[in-house]
Amino acid sequence: MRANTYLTERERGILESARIGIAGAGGLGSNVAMLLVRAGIRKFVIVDFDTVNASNLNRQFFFRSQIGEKKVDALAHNLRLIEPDLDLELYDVRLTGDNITDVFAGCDIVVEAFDSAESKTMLLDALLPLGRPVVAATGLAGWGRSNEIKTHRVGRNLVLVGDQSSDVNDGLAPQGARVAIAAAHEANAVVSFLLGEEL
Amino acid sequence: MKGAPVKIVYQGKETETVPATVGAFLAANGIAAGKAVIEYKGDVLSGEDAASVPLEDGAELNVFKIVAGG
Repeated sequence: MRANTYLTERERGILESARIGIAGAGGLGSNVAMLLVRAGIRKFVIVDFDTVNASNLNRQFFFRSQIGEKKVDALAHNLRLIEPDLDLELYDVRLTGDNITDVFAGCDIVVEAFDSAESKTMLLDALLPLGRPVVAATGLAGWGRSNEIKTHRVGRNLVLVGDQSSDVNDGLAPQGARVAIAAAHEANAVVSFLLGEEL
Repeated sequence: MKGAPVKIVYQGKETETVPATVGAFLAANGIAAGKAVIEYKGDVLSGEDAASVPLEDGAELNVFKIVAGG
């Protein structure tokens, strides 16, 4: 039984053979991974050093019973509830400029799903010069303004999602609906990239 | 840098400016290179390169701010 019965054989082959990196398994990363499994992606490299806590449950693809578990392990469990036959490489580490290129070396596309602006910039600085396609997010905190979250193609290998202004450092909380909108944009961009569709 | 004014398309709008590097132009417009993605002439430009690449007549320059949240 396949999770996505709406694909052509060609589409299924492309999506199942791609390996996607998920940098951060929080609000963005957990939801992007969930959407990509539903879309037909089967191979992932997922990286996060954190554990699930109660404050995550407003937006992240975890459950109350998973509080205290490592995010990469909890996410792997949840993704396999959708599709058991997944190829998951899990790293319970903090990504830095020293390890990020090695960790994602085998990935076709990397999804930036960090919290901090510094980490987002670190990832872009490390991966874009290598020509590695990256889908990243900037500006998704708070409520409302759904249609201000947009997808931009920047240069050949970067897709940027967000409103570029709603910053959690400005007192705006990360809230589930807006984070999910941005995560859906990121997931849609990954699939579009792979299938050669317009973003 | 000295010389004739340069006309670029900045954030979708035709803009005339004094000759400058991309980095200097952005700094004058309050954009810190390390806190934004710079797209110049259709390619992503690193902050390091922006400091030395000059603005060219007719070039398109777009800036995307990077803010926290995820």
